[in-house]
Amino acid sequence: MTATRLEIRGLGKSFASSVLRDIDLQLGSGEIHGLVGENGAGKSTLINILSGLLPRDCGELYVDGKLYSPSNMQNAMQSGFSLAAQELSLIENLSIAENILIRALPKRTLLLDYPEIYRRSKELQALVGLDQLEPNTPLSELSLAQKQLVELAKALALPSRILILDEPTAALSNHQVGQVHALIRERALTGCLVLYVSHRLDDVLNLCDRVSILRDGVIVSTSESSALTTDTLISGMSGKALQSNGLTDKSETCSHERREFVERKPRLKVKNLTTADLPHPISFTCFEGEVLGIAGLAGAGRSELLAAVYGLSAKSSGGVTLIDGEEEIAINAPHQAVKHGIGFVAEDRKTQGIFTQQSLAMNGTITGLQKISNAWGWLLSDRERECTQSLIDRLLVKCDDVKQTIDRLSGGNQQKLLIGRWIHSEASVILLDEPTRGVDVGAKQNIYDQLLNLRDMGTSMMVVSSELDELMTLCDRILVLSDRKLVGVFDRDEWSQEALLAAAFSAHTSLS
Amino acid sequence: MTLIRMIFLSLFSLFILACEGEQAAGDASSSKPKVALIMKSLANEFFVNMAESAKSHHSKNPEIYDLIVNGIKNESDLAQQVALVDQMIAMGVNAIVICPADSKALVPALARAVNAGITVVNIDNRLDAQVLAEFGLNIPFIGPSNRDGAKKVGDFVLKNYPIGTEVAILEGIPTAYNSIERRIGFELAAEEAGAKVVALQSAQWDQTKAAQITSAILSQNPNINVIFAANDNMALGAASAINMAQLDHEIALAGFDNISAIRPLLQNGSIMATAEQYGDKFAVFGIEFAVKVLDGEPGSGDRQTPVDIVTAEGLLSERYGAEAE
Amino acid sequence: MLRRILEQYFIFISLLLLVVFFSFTANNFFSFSTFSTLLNQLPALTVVTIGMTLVLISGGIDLSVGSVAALSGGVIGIASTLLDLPLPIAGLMGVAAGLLAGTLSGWLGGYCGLPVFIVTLGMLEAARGMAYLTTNSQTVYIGANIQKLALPLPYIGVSASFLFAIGLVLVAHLLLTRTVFGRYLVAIGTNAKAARISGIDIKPYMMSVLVISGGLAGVAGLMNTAYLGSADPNAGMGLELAAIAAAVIGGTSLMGGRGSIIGAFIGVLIISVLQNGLAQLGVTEPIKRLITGAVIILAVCIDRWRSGAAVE
Repeated sequence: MTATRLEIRGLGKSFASSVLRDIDLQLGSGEIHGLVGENGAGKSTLINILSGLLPRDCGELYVDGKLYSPSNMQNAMQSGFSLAAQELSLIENLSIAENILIRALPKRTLLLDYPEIYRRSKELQALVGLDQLEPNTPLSELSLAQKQLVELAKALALPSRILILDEPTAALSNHQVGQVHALIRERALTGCLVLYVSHRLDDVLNLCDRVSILRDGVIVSTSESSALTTDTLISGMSGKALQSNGLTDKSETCSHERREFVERKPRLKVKNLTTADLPHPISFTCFEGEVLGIAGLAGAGRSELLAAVYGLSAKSSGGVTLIDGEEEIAINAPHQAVKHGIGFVAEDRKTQGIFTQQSLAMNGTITGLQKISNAWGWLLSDRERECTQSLIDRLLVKCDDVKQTIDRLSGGNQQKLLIGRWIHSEASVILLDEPTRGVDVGAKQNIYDQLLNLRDMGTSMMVVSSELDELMTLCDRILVLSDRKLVGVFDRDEWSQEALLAAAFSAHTSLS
Repeated sequence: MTLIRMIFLSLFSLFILACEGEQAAGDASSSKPKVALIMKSLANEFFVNMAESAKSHHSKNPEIYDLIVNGIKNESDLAQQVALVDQMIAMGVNAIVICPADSKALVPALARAVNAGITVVNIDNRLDAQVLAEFGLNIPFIGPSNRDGAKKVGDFVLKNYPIGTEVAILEGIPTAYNSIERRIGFELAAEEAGAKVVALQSAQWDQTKAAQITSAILSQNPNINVIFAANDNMALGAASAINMAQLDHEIALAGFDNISAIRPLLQNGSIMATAEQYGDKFAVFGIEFAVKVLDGEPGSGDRQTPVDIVTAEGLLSERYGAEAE
Repeated sequence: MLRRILEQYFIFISLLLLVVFFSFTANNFFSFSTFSTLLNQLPALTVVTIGMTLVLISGGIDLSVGSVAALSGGVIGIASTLLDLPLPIAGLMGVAAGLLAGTLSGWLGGYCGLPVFIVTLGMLEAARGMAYLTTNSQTVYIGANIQKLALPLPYIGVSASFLFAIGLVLVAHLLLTRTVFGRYLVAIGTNAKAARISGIDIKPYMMSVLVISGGLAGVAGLMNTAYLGSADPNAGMGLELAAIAAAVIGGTSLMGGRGSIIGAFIGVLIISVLQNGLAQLGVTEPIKRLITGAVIILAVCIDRWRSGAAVE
């Protein structure tokens, strides 16, 4: 092995309880080192300590043999660290170029040197596959996947000795993931140490030289990735051997039996729908008790379609109709949608999902206050507590009390509660945008179980996901979007990963 | 529900405290009378000087009385001044010497003070006679005749101007007694000199507003030769407006109060005259009067204090109005 | 445990400490008459602060309350003197004027989606102008009749105005913590986007909270008019800032989503005790302001420290 680049000795950190204990790691230069663990295992804390965002309680850090104790992010950057964070650190009002180069904007005397900024930005954009975008595009116009690539480009903008990537591919399509991995390998060849944190276990095994598994704040193993499989990783992360179903087994033998639809009752009809983002008319029907997947490459208009169905974005033409028994109700705004039993779990938990600093009870019941209040709009605290507690029990949310703030939950548990909202309000249609983004393996399986349970009880769902496995596990039918057009509808017996991918790429291949 | 408990707790304890304090309040009145001076804005130099001279008067006579000085944030904050009066009543002072921020709105509060057995002396801005009568009060006013002062300033400025000269007047807050009196004084002077008042507007005693209003007046009435401002702050504002219109020395400007900021403008001729009413002594006059009443002298009847004209040459020697004593 | 109690009751303890401090230092501060005086000058600020706290919690701000209170007072003054209407009717007209101003701000800021800060800044100017217009820029003397509202009632030493204000504090507290309406305000203030996705039609709530604030400013105008016995078109200047300060001292966040009506009321008490105590000590105006400012900033620092401790 090559020279040791980063050494961690006896590192420990605790907030209320111990989060990291006795972390010992020796990472070589040029190494790509994977770090996996369930949400709440301590990965983010470790990354935050390394990049100077959190102080450590005990232990020492050495970079190239020299003692390293950062007190802020600037220290970390000076020591050669560079971080692409999972919760993106970008500024919406600035352009792509300004975001990428913000840590060291080229200047000519006192003024910013924009030609130089745009030239360097172009180079870095090309590296991450964003070369089709103008460097002066405002960040706010980008999709989440594109923003994630910008975050990566920003991390690559400065020369670094240690590159930390926290879920860099969470929002990316498979094609983009391959591109990013090639880039990471190239960086490692120059001697840079890459610390790669991801929930995508296949990717971790493919890319990394060695992998460390973190469980409950302790590193339980560090091994060469050639000696590992996804199964051993999962059992290492969860601490128990995984029964062979669900995630790892791609042939899909789900514990839930699929119902045969004797008589398919339509629940949600979308007819000739167009919006500013979706110029081509889209029509489809979602049936009662059906899980309808929406697949496509990043930027194909998947999230935009979901938002339009929910009434979040204005329609240019066409309409969305909810069929409730004999009644047909047009849906034009979210509050109408919710009133008639449609729910939405947005892609970005932090900005569009949770109410920070509010209690679990508040977060879990906000969509169905009528169920915990009397006719005068008076909230009944006992009902509130009961309802929240039953959600928590049902969804296995790990928490102390229904009155604690949601901020203290891990991402997976937050996500469960956000889905729980719509269980509480008894929504008959739930739209889910990347329902397991940034969620650990255990919680992921649990969320799948819950969703399939809901389906069995007659709830209709539409699911957007970048992971084809996820769609193939959950869905009865999958719609495929390519370049903002609906290009295909696949039934369970007619789909395969290849067929879906081919459809997703169809608009691009036919153009070129 | 903890918060509800909290509020009851807080109210309850306040009352407990209040009731216990009641006994202690009685014996606080020692042999020396306590005099409360309630000013208007202590951001205004005029009132600051008044308070200062009251304090130095007190420090020379510490054995005669105790002094507590309070003022309000800005001159139109009536509610705060009423609150101060109530506080002083609660505190159990023997006399209140007050420059009322409003000639009517302060009367009810002062009536409470009189009913509580407190000697009240009115300085600077005279309380409204009608409202006083309604409350059956007879609060002595110790101060200058604003009307005479303004009249004399007006006479002095207009003596070299022909009949038909156009005059503008900037008044203060239109309800304030001293603003009304000064306006009437200026109007009387104009009438006697045969001048014509073509504009009368309120700039609320405020320099910035005075500048804006003067600019507007000047552009509407280009023939104006004389501007009277009911205080120097407004005169300063008017001066800057005149300056901006490049009409310096073509328009005669007069103020009232003789604040220090106006002296350079008197020297360079931008402002022709102002009135010195020995404002810094008002409070002292009032306090002396209050102490005498507390000693048993008859407490009714007003006292007039002197007003002089000030020009670039300094104080004009002639004095108007009666002496303080 | 002690730490928890300290955190929870922090503002209340600070208030008691202030009272104790002034009781030892200021002459006669510790007396029935002082406390009675102090409480009876609170109602207007209290009522305005209730409205302000609700608006702040929903993520907005209402800068117009002081001017709207003056407008309400002006309407009451003219209605009861020039139009010779009975006082209850005049009072209702004043409150109606406040509601009207609030409805206009609410419609522009809540429904048409203009920035609330700017709309209410505009209303601050416009309502002041209206107040000058209605009163012809003069203080309207109404008389002793209306003052009955503000004078201490026998035996209990506090005024009807004060009791009414306390009633409003309790009602608003329950509205905020115990009703669907209050819960929605908190949700909107915490995260408007998430609230919209959760199916809350934001606009009516943004509007109604401004209507409430306007109406309460109208009530404050009535109380202030009663306190002075006259309608002063210059009344309530800077009232909005005092209300924001009280709300912030009471733990309300300017970013929305967090705050308490009871806390804000204690904030009002703290500001008033400070004002009265310093006045009785004979502290000069510049020092008074210095201290008041420092207390506001200190309150935010402590609040930051407390909520920071809670999150970590």
